[in-house]
Amino acid sequence: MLMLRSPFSDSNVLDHFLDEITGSVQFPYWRNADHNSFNFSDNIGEIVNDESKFSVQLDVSHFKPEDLKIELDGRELKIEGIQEKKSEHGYSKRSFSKMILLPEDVDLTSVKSAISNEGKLQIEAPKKTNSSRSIPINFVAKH
Amino acid sequence: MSSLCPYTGRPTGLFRDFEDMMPYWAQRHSMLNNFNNIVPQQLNEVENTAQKFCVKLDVAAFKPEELKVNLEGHVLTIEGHHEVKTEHGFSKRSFTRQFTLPKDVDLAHIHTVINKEGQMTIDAPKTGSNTTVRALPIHTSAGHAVTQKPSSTTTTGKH
Repeated sequence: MLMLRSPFSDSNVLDHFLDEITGSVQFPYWRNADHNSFNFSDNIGEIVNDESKFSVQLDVSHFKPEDLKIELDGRELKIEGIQEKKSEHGYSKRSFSKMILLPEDVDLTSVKSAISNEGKLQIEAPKKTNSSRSIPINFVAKH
Repeated sequence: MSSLCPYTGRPTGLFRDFEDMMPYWAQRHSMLNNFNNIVPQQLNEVENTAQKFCVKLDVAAFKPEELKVNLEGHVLTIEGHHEVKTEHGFSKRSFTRQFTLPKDVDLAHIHTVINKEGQMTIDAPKTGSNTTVRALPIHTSAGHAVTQKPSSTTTTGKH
């Protein structure tokens, strides 16, 4: 099954994640999508930011996976979709672009993404574990 | 705030009354930002008949000031650009639609309107120039031409 694969992700973890969200759906969403529609796919965006993870969900059902691009530049997460096609009477192009600044406590080495068969793009990143430590206080006697 | 409540259908009560008072771009804009609203499908967007050429586009995701309609020769271009800052960064979207108008469109009378549901309609009447009929000379076997009168009059383009 064709799915967008994240270069940041371990494939075994991603496969398990995909199994959970795709269930028993037979065909990927772009096989059945009405590509003549004039919807915009970035309108539905949900962000979850809690103590264990940061996640983004987008409806990209009117873009094929090859129309999409995800980049991580430092803490800047960029999601882009561009779709162009000829039509009977002319030409059609639509695009969206989202930039999300990830919080400082996100583990940038573990960002992963997946697209469900319904065309939901999900990007997840766990938070870093708490690494604070106590610092001893030294007293220096003054003479 | 109401935006923190789960949304499972059309707004009711006070929120619904408030929504009805707003123009489509403010209403739809707030809906798109806060709820999983589905933008309706756009079907049958081009109508090309003997009387007119008509384009319908759903532009509800854009404010009128974010839209632009250009006509260059017979090429009609409609563009929308929308950008908004968000809590975590920014979000942009855009579209370009280009239509090559038929040759018999009356370019001087193209009309564009957006209704309050956010549907843009671009109407252009036809000139009627394709209905011109002219007579052709008939050459007889004797070698000289006999010209007949036209069987119908030529219609003028305007109105």
